[in-house]
Amino acid sequence: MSELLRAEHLVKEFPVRGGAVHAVSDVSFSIEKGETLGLVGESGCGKSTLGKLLLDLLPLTSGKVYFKEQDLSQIHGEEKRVMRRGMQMIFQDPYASLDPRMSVGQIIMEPLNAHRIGKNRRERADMARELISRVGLRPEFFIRYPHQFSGGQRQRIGIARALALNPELIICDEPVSALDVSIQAQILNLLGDLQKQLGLTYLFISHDLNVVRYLSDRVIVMFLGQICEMAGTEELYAHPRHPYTRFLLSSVPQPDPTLRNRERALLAGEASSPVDPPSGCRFHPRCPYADTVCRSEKPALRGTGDGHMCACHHPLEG
Amino acid sequence: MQENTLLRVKGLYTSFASDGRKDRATAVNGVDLTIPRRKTVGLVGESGCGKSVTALSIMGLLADNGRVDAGKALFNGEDLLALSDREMRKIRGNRISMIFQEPMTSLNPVLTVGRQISEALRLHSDISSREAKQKCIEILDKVGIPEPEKRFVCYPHQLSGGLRQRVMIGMAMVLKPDLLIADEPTTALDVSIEAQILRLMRGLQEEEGTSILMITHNLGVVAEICDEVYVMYAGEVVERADVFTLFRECAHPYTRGLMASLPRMRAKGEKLYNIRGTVPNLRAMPAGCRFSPRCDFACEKCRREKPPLEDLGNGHLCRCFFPEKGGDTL
Repeated sequence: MSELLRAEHLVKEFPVRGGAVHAVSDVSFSIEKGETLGLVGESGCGKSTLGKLLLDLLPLTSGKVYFKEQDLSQIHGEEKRVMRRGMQMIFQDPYASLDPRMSVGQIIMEPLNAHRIGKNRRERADMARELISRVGLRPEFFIRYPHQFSGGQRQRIGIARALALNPELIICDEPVSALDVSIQAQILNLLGDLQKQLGLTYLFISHDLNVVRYLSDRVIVMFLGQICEMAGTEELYAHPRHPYTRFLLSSVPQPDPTLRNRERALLAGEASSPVDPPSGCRFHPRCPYADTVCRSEKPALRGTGDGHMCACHHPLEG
Repeated sequence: MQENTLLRVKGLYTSFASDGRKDRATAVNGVDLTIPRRKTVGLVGESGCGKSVTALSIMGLLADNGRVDAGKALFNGEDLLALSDREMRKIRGNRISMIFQEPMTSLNPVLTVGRQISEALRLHSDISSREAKQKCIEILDKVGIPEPEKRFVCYPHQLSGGLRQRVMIGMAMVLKPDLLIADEPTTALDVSIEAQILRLMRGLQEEEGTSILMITHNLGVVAEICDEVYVMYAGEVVERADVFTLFRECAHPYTRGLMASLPRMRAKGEKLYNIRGTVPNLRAMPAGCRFSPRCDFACEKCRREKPPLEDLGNGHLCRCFFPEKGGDTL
């Protein structure tokens, strides 16, 4: 496998009165071509902000993003436009991310128009029709409007739009969170099929640990703007090393009543704010194992073998 | 009526009018439901299956265009659906209370948390404001809110989502109701908060002996907290069983489809089962079994006749001509 995207020391701070929201603080990782990288964490951990930073939908405070070895901050104009075709996004809310005044055909043709792909309107319309059937919708939906569709169908339209420019990387930001389980399964299957057919690479952002486990090759766990753990999916779920990861995994409601009395990790205190993040390890106020080192020194993201990385002064036994 | 039954809903039909149409849309179509004392009963199904409307009908909280067309809701033997608004107000918040999905929209933003909880208390019992405050602080403490005296004077926007949901639960539990109806109480919350809230609800139930009707689309939540489960599809109950039986050997093709579409048990690359098609329109229900157009096993009979809700043994009910207990995984 080869590296498709590399993020180096990404930082994003949003200024607020009397300080800043430290949304993303020194995050580095890479995405290999053809893989699905899962990104999990709870509300406010910075996972969606991170997705937007990679696509340049938000300006970085500092840090660099390399896409196919090209530093995105160093290219401009036409070169950048061409480069950006390679990375697209699918959003969470299929009701808010489609313009209600545009027909499905117009929605899917918009990126084609913007990037002047195809010789003329007719050719672009043909491409849009092909995309519509590729995502499992009927070509005659071309002239319909978003309100005529269910949530699952709208998400398919969003996927068709993301595919229009033949991207290599798709950032999926909670693409199935707003959908019912049976519809969620349809969309997850579609994403899997498209990956096989088109050789796509996904960054899959979600708070749903069961969905991420099913879809991802590797998983990153974020807490308050930082990566706390990163490993291959099976390795991470079977042997979490960071106390936060273990806590998250034991919190997920499991659809098996025989597990209801399982042992669960507990957390101390209340959630900390990204405006004034805790010193040292940001997880220390909630961590049952925290000591003086944790309160003063930031733990580095270190390898613990097998490509398993963990940012903890006292990683748990595997 | 059996001693241990708290609420028995019988043949509930609820419909809605919509602008410019003469026909009404029937959202709940003959639902029977029993809630035993001290038990948690789950009501599961996907968007639009009628699970919330069932609860709102019981509570007398339907929107103006909604109407209960038939049925009874016997609560301690008294039919709630036959009560006047005034009589119902005495029961609501007092003997039966309800919590909703989004705590921000169900709390009043311009009143302090303390004021809102005391309001419920003083409405239903004759106590002084000092006593009410004392009780409020006790309940805030009980639902796990740190520094309850400080939070008493907070406005809802000053609290996090998890704390707000705790306030809602505190408000619902302060009068020690016999029944708590919880409509997707953890859907808007992060998993770590969700786990805390579920634990809290279970603890309160053990302590106070409250019955809970848990409305959710999340089968994980059902498995964690419910004793018995009703599965609804298109306004009808299609399956009912105790929670262990349901997860071990559900028999209705819809329930089996729901279970098989969960990503949990599948390996990467293995396809998830998906129930084809979409939920039918309330005004254009298919003839026969309402699930038949989406069912992999439907035959001529299913498309013609409506299957009754039949007992497969030990109170495991299933609305299907060809139930398959723990049938092949889909």
